[in-house]
Amino acid sequence: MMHATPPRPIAFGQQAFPDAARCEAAVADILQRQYYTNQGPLTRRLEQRLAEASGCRHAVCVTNDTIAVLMAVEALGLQGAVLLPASAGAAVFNGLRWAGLQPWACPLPPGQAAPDAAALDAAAAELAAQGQPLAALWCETGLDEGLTARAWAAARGLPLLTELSATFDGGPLRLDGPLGVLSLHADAFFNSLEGGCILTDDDGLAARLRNIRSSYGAGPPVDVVRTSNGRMSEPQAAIGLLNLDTLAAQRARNAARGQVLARALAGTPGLRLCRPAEGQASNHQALLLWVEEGAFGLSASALRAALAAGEIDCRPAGAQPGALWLPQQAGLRDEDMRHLARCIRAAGAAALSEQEA
Amino acid sequence: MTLHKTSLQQLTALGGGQPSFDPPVSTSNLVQPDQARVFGYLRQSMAAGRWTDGGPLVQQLEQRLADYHGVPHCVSFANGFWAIALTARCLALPGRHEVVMPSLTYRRLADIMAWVGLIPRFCEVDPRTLAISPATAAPCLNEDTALLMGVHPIVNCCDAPGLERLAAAHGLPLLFDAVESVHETLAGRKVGGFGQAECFSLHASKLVNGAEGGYVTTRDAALAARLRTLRDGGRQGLEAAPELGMNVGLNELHAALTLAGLDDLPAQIERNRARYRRYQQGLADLPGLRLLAFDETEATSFKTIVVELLDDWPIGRDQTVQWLNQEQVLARAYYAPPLHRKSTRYPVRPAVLPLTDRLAQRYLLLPCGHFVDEDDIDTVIDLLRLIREQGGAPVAQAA
Repeated sequence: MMHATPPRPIAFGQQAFPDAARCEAAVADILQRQYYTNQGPLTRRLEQRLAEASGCRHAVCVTNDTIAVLMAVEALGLQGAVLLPASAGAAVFNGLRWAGLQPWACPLPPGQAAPDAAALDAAAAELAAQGQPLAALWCETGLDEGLTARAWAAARGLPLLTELSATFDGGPLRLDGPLGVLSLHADAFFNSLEGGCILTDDDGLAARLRNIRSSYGAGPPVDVVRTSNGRMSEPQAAIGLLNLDTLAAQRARNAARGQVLARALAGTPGLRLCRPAEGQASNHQALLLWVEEGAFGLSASALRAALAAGEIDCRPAGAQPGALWLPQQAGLRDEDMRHLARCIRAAGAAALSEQEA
Repeated sequence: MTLHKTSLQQLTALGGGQPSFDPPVSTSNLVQPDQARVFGYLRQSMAAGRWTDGGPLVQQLEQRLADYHGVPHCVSFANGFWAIALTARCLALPGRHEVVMPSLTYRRLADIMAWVGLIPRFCEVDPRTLAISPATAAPCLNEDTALLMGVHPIVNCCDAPGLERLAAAHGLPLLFDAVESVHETLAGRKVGGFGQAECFSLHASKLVNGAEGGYVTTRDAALAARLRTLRDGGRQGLEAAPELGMNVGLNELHAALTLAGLDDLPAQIERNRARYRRYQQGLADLPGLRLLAFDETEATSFKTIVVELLDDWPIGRDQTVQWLNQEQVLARAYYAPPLHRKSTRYPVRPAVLPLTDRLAQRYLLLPCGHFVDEDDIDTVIDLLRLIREQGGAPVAQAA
């Protein structure tokens, strides 16, 4: 096949970084100020800007997303199990387990972006049958608006914890529970290289979070069971601040690329691409591809391997079989998304041909 | 700006007006990495387009630290806290629950063990080294010991070879918190190669300033591989990480700062040595106070200045620290309160440690590091001399 521009390797995740000149200026500024970590001025500014942008009272930044999750549930004092979508990322599974909770993956209905009420009911019943107390519901928004999760948690009086990484676009966020969590990893839409942020309107919860993070920036002492360290450094905060200024443009490009990909994959048997609905709060970073092996010719994991051979990095959708997270990287051209679609279709076609032969 | 004070009434704590120092002088190292070197390293990351998840600088740094410590393997982490946690989790014997560790140590070490699900059993320290020793650890070992946690003290090292023999005799894994002994050798062996693994920090206050970061050194290839998998935390796919991990890798920016710091390390040690010598000279004729001496028969970084207040020092350690702090001399108590004295809401084994209790009231850290010059040291010593000579007398506070 001839391409307008040659295909190139496609890495996973937004991977949005400031240009070299801005990076170096930020690092020079830190070196000149000689304030490297411990809740420095850049970290404080980032927290303030995230709070203002999101409309939340408090933004507590930490060094990585797993620590953000474990601190969040530790601060809430949760015990037992947490229901979460099977497509949730490793940081959520790990963070919950480190905090002594049992993550209980709730399968997504095929082709959907979030568990429906029936799936949640079934998962809760399994937990109950095992004598496991259900402590909270974890939901992920951005592809799904979270309406089902909100209603389900509210009906049962459960705290709703929300992963907002696929939703946050620099504008206001809705918290339907005590807190929300952002991953600030380089793969996420908004990144500080590595990092995490816990958003809350609850003053007491914020105070506990800061004391769990400990020492500098802890504010008035609040008794916590154990500290977790996990300070965000000034270099991380600097990258975050630089990236905050680019989010509107990033969102627009994500949306446009997603549309290109959707058109290029349209009509491919056995595939369903989950994208945000028109007008839905989202940064359009998450692209969930459902793969029905019988119709497509390959399983999701086999498709992932085939794409990897062509230097295209996709990720499994957590513990959810039959689905993949597709790349949506800053700097990708429309042609790159068409190339991605061609590779996906070609892999399926080749597999089907082999089966027919 | 520094003020030279000649009488106790001039001390800020006693109403004497402006503090001796502005800005304050602290005990944190805070060495400033060289900008040109940092940029040189960063351009490698930029060229590769990799900023995290094991980028080129992290790989380069891990090899360089492994070489520096004379071991085959180094695994870097986002910070020393979780480096210790993940390594302890790997090493702890299954089915057992206790970790034997000193109480006179880093204030969060017990919290780390709580995250790992281990129960601290605190032991005494050797009064000469202020560190855990075979003699102090042995009485605490039992059938439920999962891990022996050695900790190098702030000045010099613990008896690591002795702890190795003790651990081997009992079939126990031995992990070291070596945060304060990065450059040291012990019996000619570089710290980093003792026990099953040793853990270090790259926090800005430590010997090498990476802003934040940590790393683990080991001779055990399987342990190193396991730590790398756990550090990845299943980001490549949960099926690739059946064990509980955590996405806690080091990013390229921190690696760049660290590499630049390693380049400067020999020069930094010379500067540290000069500060130490100034304290040695100035404190030599000051009775009631003893400077902890670095063992110069071994490699040492001369980084941190620790003194012991002897029985004839006129006021207590905490009051000394308070008076100094009011002068903006940010001296700190040495590991006080000790961990066995802290109430916790996670399990610990109750301990009666009279020696640790006594030692925890006698030592303090004095200013050192990048922001402290020899004139500052002279002023600090003059303040100590003032306290020594006049501190025992009743004081009429300044109006």
